[in-house]
Order: sequence, then structure tokens, then C-alpha cells
Amino acid sequence: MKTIPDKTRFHFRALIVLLGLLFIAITHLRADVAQNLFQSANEAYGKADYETAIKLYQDSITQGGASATVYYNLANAYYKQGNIGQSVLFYERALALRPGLAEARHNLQFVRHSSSLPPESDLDSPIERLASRLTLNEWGWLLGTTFWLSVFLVVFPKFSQKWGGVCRIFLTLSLAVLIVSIIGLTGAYPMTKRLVALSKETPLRVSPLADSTKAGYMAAGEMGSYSEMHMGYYLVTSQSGKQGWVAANDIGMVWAK
Amino acid sequence: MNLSIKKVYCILALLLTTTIGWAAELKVTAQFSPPVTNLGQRSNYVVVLEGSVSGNVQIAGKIPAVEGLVIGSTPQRSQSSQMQIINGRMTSSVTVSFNFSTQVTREGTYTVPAWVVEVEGTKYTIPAATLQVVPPGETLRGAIVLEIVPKVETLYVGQSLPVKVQLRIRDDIQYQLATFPQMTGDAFTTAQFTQDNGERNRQIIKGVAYDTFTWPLLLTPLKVGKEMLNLQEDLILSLPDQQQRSGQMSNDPFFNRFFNDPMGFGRQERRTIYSGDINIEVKELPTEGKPASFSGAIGMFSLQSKLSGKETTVGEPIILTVTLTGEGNFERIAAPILSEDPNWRIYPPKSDFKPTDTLGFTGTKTFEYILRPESEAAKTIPTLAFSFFEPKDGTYVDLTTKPEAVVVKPGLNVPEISPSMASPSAKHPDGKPALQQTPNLLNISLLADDFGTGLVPFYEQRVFWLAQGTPLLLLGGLIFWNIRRQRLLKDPNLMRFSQARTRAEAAIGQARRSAIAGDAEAFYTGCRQALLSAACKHFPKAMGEETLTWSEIEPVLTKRCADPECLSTAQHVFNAYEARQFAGRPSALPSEPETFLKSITTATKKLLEA
Repeated sequence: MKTIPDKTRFHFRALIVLLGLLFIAITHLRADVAQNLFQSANEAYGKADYETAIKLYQDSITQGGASATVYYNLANAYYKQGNIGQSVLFYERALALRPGLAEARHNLQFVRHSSSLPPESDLDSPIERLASRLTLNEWGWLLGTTFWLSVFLVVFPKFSQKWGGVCRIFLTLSLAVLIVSIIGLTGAYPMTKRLVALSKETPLRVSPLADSTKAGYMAAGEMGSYSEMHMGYYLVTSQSGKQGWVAANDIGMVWAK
Repeated sequence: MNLSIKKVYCILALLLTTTIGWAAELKVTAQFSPPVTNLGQRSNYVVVLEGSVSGNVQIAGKIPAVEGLVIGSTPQRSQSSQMQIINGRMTSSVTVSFNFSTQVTREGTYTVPAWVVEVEGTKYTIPAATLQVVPPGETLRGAIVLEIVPKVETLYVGQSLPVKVQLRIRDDIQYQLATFPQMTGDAFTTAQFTQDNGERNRQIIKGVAYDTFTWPLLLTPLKVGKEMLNLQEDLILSLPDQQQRSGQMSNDPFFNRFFNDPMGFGRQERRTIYSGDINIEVKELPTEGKPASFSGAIGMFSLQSKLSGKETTVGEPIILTVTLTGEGNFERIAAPILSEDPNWRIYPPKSDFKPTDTLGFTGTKTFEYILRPESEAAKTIPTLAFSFFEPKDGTYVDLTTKPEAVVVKPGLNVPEISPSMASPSAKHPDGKPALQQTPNLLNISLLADDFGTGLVPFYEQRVFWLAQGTPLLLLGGLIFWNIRRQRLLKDPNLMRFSQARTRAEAAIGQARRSAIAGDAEAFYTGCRQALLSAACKHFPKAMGEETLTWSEIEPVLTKRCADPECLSTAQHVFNAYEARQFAGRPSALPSEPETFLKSITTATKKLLEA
């Protein structure tokens, strides 16, 4: 029987605690740096120095991670700079992170109108309406959690008869949430394929080659979705129904690819 | 009475129209059937009279002599009649065929020139007819043609030209279309040919009848150079058996066809028909005289522009509608460029194309620009620059518009505002409101409290899968624990040994803690307990572990643990315990408790393993 000396055990525990504290400190520091950058960016925006504001907002995202609020401000700065494609992209990203961000939804609608872009299609189906309640990741985590909860609620009564009745009630609830989360996820999944045309006239090509003929164009800020990718080109269906291959650097994915 | 007269008139009218119908023109044709044959096979020279002729009509005239071709002098005659009433008009026609047997002695092409024949006193010209006698197996040569019409030799890169893909199949061939034509050639835009966009009709070329399929195609080259494209098409052909056919005695082609292939099936073969390489020289657009506004439009266009109003206020948008009409590569035409003017804010235009043909070669493309005057200094709207290349003349045509005067009045001080909301009076030329009203851009958020969330989908996050793995492991552990528990419940001995192991481990732990605390009594009690718990495995259940003595444990331990130090340490434990228990003599802790404990752990392990 191998035993670990108490001294070693103590050092091990101390190391774990230190690492944990270090992680918390770094995270906090990064968040602090990100906050400072965000404030500086807001100041630059207030002085109409949109180029600096954009850089600082992007730096704050690099330091602190993605943020719906920063994306929203970044989108505003891009719009003020006249970059409609990036502006729409970052409003969409803000909404992907926080579907309930009313300001982003409002400004996105404004930018679309002012740029003569087609409006966002209404959420017609009940599934789409349900999916818009949470983000894709929230649906995913909800699905994962309720799935395992349901599994444990099925398995647990096998070990203890005492809690059988309670388990059944919770199992019913858990299964109901599981079904809702599957439906929600089904509706939210197509969002991961959404993209925004960035160039003023983003060409849709008939084949994924730079010298291929142009089958049509997408306006900057026009939404689309892709179905496949080939050698740096995406097969895109635009909001207006046109289809063609678009170079990766002419479009921005709402969700990370 | 009146009624009777009307009846008479009706009968007379009917007779008159019937007579007119009989008086329809006589149509005279001639052809070889089949028009292509092998040496030794029969082909008839068939003269057909169709129209108002009597049933026993005869033809008088001499068929011109053709070298190598012997045409029989006595034709076989067959006839059919047809009567139709169209819009109350009765027409009757008789078709009389004169089949002349032919004979040739060598392969080649034989053409019977046009000749004059007298039918019921009137002279008619019978057109020329051609017979091809080819080596066996080559009767299909030239019988099926797949090509682009009209023939295209040169094009400019980016130019769109409407052509037709034509499939011609000689009339005597029985076939089915297995596919629709497919076009290959990466230098040209691709096209889809289907049943819906195809057209079928009948053609007679040099006296030979063809079944013709035509599909429209907008040919647009994408590369400069000598480029090539190909067409191919799969057909299922019903080929008659050669031997059967040559053995027929009848001169009637229908008779031959009936006996060779009574059901029209024949020997079926799938054949791919190729157009062969269609070479087209694709020329670069000339650089000379190319206007700066040229953006790729090739064809012939006219341009009109229309303003929604000639008077506006600062900040109030007006709409400029530009209409481009004509023929050309509309697909590649980008919005005409409006010249930059600091007095105007120009928004990207909306475009719409309405084709007037199926290929989208002709039609009207409309661009709608929203122009917002930024100051009263805007006196004219920005000029619109558009030019196109005219391929027939090989020249560029510039359609740049002249500046159009507008009146811009001072407006309200509206800062950042959408042109659509500037004023509801921004009207479309057709009178409809331009865009729906929207409020202003909302300001930035001053507080960011949600850093750290990611835009990576959950299924691409490692943490998500780790989180899913944790309950999976937990579930696996739970199942394993349950299986072990069930096994222990079923086997009391196993349960006992398992509990003994747990107790032994706990006793070692207790001894270690006692050594640290300097409690010798608890230390030896712990060591003894560990040895007893481990040793009880080797004794019946009835013998409780507390009743075991060193004399009982020693032989078991000696057998399993060869290390004399282990044995002496274990004995020391029992001695120390008994000295304390029975003689009241306290024992001191060993000089090296860790080493001592290590020996006890080894002894315990050996007892448990056995």
C-alpha cells in the first residue's frame, strides 16, 4: 500500500491553491485592462476619433474576451466611420452573444434602413421565435445539463427507492426542458452559418476561383449563409437569394469559424 | 320557304368550300429512304405527291441519269387520303408515293438533280435528293449532329452572345434522349439544358429530314485566348439487325422497318454524341479609348435617369432612378458610378433587373440611388458615369450624364439621421414612400460588464466536452460501484475481506497519526489492528479478528512474507501490545516510526494479497 507523505500532500495542496489564485488574479487583471481599454475607446469615440476607438475596442476584446457591449460599441464606431459591412457584422455578433440587447437590434435596423439593405427577415416560425430567446451556447449548455440530469434521474432510483417519487417529478420536468432545448438548438443552429458581406460590392462567383466569373454581388452589410467551403472560398446564399462562391476575406462570420 | 332557300345556300357554300379545298396546291417532294445506306443494302428513291390529286394519278417525266446509280423504271405506287374540317372549311388531300428501286455498285454520294414531272397536265419540279452509300457500320456518320448555331469564331472576354445548342437526328433513326446536352469548357459560363428550355421541330437539309432539338444558350467567355468548349449528349439508339435488313426483298421502307423491328425496339445501344472541339478565339477588350467609367458592360445599351424631385431641403433625400435598357451582359453590369461631391451624401444603390427574354440577354436594369444634400451649395446632382463596349464596332460608348440642376433649400438641423427618416416627403418617382421611417442611431454603452463570453459555438469548446465527460465518468463510477456492491452482497466472504481491507487501511492511517502525535499506545494498537484485520482473511468467519493471537498469525505471515524484518516488526507489535495490556508496561515509540510503519504496511499488504 503506497502512501503519500503528509508533507508532500501539503505542498501539493498549496500549489493547487496558488495556481488557482494566480488564475483568478490574471483573469481579474486582464478584465481590468480590458475595462480600461474600453473606457479609453469610449473617450476616443466621444471625440469622434473612430479609428482609435475601433482599435481600442478590439484590444479590449483581445484582453478580456468577447463582450456583447463592446461589440455593440464597435459596431457604432464602424458605422460612424462609414464601414457598413463591419458595422452590421458587429451588431450581429453582439446579438449572437446577447439576443436581448435591444440597443444593438435597434441600431442594426437603423443601419440597414439607412444603407438601403434589406431588413432582417421576421421570425416567422415558432421554432425561430423560441430559438431567439437564448444564445446558441446557452441552448447547448441547457441541452447538455438537462440530458445528464435526466440520465441521473433515471439511474438514481435504481440505487435508492426512497427518492423514487421525487425523482419521477424532476425527471418529467427535466425531460420537458430537454425537449425544449433540442427544439431551441435546432432553431439556433443555422445562426452559426450566418455571415455578412464586408466589401462594398462583394462578388459572388460561379466557382471558387479568383478568376471565375461573377454571378452577382452582395452589398456591404448584406447577410447571407454558407453551406460549404473550398480553398478559402465559401458557397454563400445571400439574403436576396443569390448564390455563389465568395472569398473568405470578403465576408465576416457572425460566429467564429 | 325562306328556310329552304337558306338550306340551298348552305349546301352551295359547303360545295364551294369543298371545291376550294380540293383546289389546294400540290406539293411534290423526293428523297431516298433511307438516305444513307451500305453497299448491298436497298434504298428507294421515293417521289411523293401530296395535295388535290386523283387517286389514280400518274407521273410523266424522265428521271435524270446519275452515274453509278441505277433507278428502276417501274415504281411501286402507294397512296393514302386525308380529310379535314378546319373552321368549317373542309380540305381533302391525297398522298401518293412512287417508290423506285435503286442499285449502286460502289460507295459514294449520289445526287439525283431536280427534274420536271407532269402531273395531270401540270408541270412540277421535283427537288434534288441525295443518297450516301457508306462502308458497313458508318451509316450513322453525320446522321446525328450536336453543335452550336450559329457558328461562333470570335468573342470578347465577358461578352454575352445568345446562341443555340442544336441536336439533329436523321429522321430514319429511332432514338430516345438519355440525357440533355452537357457543356464542358472552363473558359465559358456554364448552362443547364433541360426539357423545359428545349424546343423540338423538323428540318430538311439537302433533301434529308432531321428531328431537331434546340436549347438556347448565353455564351460568355471568361478567359482570353484560343478557348475550347465541348458538348455531349447520350442517346439510346434502336439499331436494326444488318443481316435481316439486307435480306429484305420489299422496296417499301415502311415494310422493311416493320419486319426488321415490328415493335420499334430493335437492338438498343447507348451512345454518347460529341460536338467535337468548338474553338473560339476570345479577344481581350481594347485598352485604347477605354473610358474610366467602364465597368465591364458589353453590348448595346441606352441609359435614362430620373429624379424624384428637383427641389429639396438640406438633409432631405431625393431618389435618382437610372434605367439601363438594351442587350448585353446584364449579369456583369455593376452600378454606374456617381461622381463624388462633398455637398451630397450618396448611399449604395439598389438594383433590379427585368429580362425580356429567357436568357437575360435583353431587358432593363434599374438602379435606385438615394442622394442626401448636405448643404445648400448642392446646385446640381452628381454626374453619372457609365460606358459600355460595343462588340460589333469594337468601340466604347460613353453615356455619362450631364449635371442636372436642383434647388436645395436650407433645412432643419438634423444631425446623424437616416435619409429615410429625414422627411416623409422623400418619395419614390412613382409616388410611393421611399423607405420606412426609423429613429436615430442610439449612443454607445458606457459600461461593459460581460467580458469573457465567447463567440465560439459550444460544440467547438473544449470546456463543453470536458463538462460532458465529467457526468459520464461519474455515471461510469456509479455503475461500477453498484456492480461491486451487488457482488459483495451476493458473496459474504468477499464482503468480509473487503471490509477487512478497509479496516486495515484505516488502522495504518491511525497508527501514522499516532506516531506524529507521539502516542505509543495508539500507535501499537493501530499496527496490531492492521495486522489482525489483514490476517482474518485466512481464518474462518467464526474466529473474530480480535481473538487472534501472534502464535496463530505467525505461521500465516511466515508463509507469505519472507522478509525477517517484517516478521520481527510484527512480533514486536504484538509483544508491545500484550506488555501494555497484560503487564501494564508502557512501550515507547520505535526509534524510526516511519520505517517501522513501512514494515507493518508490507506485512499487512502480504496478508491481504494472499
